[in-house]
Amino acid sequence: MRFLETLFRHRLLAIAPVILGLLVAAGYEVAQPHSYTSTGDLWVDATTPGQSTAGTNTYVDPSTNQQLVIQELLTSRSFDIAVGERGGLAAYLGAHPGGVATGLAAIPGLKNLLSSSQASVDDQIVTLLATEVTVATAGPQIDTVTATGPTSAIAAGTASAVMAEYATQVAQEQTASDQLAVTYYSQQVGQSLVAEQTAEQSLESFMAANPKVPADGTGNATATALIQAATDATNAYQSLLQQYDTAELTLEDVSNNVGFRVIDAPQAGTPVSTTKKLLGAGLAGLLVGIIVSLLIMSALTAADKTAYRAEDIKRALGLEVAGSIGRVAGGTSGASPQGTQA
Amino acid sequence: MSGHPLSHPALSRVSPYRTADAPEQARPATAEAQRAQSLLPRSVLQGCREVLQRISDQEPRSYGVTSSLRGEGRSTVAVGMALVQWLDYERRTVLVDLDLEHPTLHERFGVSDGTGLADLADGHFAMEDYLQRIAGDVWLLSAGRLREDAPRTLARLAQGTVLPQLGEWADALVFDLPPLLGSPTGLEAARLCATPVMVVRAGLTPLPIVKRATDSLPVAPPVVLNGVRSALPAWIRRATGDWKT
Repeated sequence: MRFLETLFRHRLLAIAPVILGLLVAAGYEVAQPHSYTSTGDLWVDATTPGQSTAGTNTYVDPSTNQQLVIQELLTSRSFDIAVGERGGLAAYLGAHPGGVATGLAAIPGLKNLLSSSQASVDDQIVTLLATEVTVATAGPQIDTVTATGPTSAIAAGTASAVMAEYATQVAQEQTASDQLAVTYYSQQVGQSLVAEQTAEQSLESFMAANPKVPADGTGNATATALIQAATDATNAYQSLLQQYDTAELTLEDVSNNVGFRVIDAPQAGTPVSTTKKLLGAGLAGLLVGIIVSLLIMSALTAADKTAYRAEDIKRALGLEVAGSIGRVAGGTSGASPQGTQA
Repeated sequence: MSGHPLSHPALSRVSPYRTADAPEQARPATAEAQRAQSLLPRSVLQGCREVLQRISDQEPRSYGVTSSLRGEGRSTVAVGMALVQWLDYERRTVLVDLDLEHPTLHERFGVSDGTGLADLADGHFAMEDYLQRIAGDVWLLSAGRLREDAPRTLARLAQGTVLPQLGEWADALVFDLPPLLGSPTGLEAARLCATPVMVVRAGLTPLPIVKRATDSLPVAPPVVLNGVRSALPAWIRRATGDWKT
């Protein structure tokens, strides 16, 4: 009851934070630049991208694993810069310095104070992508990439660039791994070829020195052994050559083997609803204002040690209130008639 | 004007405003009653009625209206209690300004502050020269000019015969006391009356201060909560059963 008394006694003070919260939130939202969003979907085939060791938790959906990897990549500067350059954000920032200032920096008076105009385009890209790109799972196999940008084209370009750059990164990883395999098999094939040639030469030398020995080495243990060695060397060589070819094929086809594909390419960005944003901001401002107001009122109630009602006296002092006198406009002083001398 | 302090004919024991004793005086009493009621706002008189309904049976009828600090409505409540004593109970009442250092009742009723209780304490003058009628059978004994310090005057009053004589002559005495904490003589003055009444200004006086003041009194006083005004809208007060405030 005392809280209610305080609330109604300080109506203006109670309402002020709420109105202020609403105005600040609405003003903040109005000051923000127009933005567009674009969304694209990825079909994820593999739990892990390529042969990467990333996201090897087999208890998690493939889409979740890949989502975590993309989000991780988005925290890296090189990936962000590559996305910015590929999606057109870098060019836009170069042409419009400070044109995508958001948050407090978007407010005209604070722009010079808070904007990152002195930061390089790369820095701006890194800052923007951290907040303007989100990756979410739409199901066990599908990841959704959403990008927000200052223009429709930038939004779509950024979303596409994230997907493409991710594919590139995975392909690079895959290429490096496959290249190692090709190099390895190439060396193995070379060694095997030498071994095979050596075995063949030994066999030919022996046959030339022993013309009576039949070509299949029948009846001659040495010839038989040499023929077996040459055959084994040839088989080994053929096997390694086959593996080498497979590795080369894998290397050549790496771009088609990244573990995912785009099923919905990002389309031209759609403008973010200003009304919806305004309503959201207003609601948030209202909520903050109400909380601040309640805190102020609670503090005032706690600090007020005076009595307003008989119950206050009874509770605090244990005294009975024998009578209450209502407040009279202009004080409680009565009229001042002339007294009469006795 | 010498001899017994209350020997003046105008101060006869039988009040001309007592309708029970003098039914023929009913008409002037009614006119006087209206005049008395006009001296204070109705809410003040009503609040004083509530207080007196609780304590008016206590004997002797010697009420001291005090407060913790100045500015809590002490004098207004004292005037209201004096008026209600006569209006509701038809008691001859003397309103005594015991706030010797900061007397205000004479200003309120536009009478001289030259003579009053401080002079009577010396016992040199007849009391009838100092009692001034406010309305009906309500009389004011103002503080007068201090010739010595207030504590000494109060001590003289406590030992003298003025207050007992006043008590004999009047049916009720209402003292406008100094505040308990805002004056060095507050507690001494409160001891001169039988029933102290504590005025607390709603929304102004911190309760810890009120507690300190009431703790200094020998008895727990009835409290008058002055200046009550609920900030709650009527519908909330109705819903919470707090309609009275």
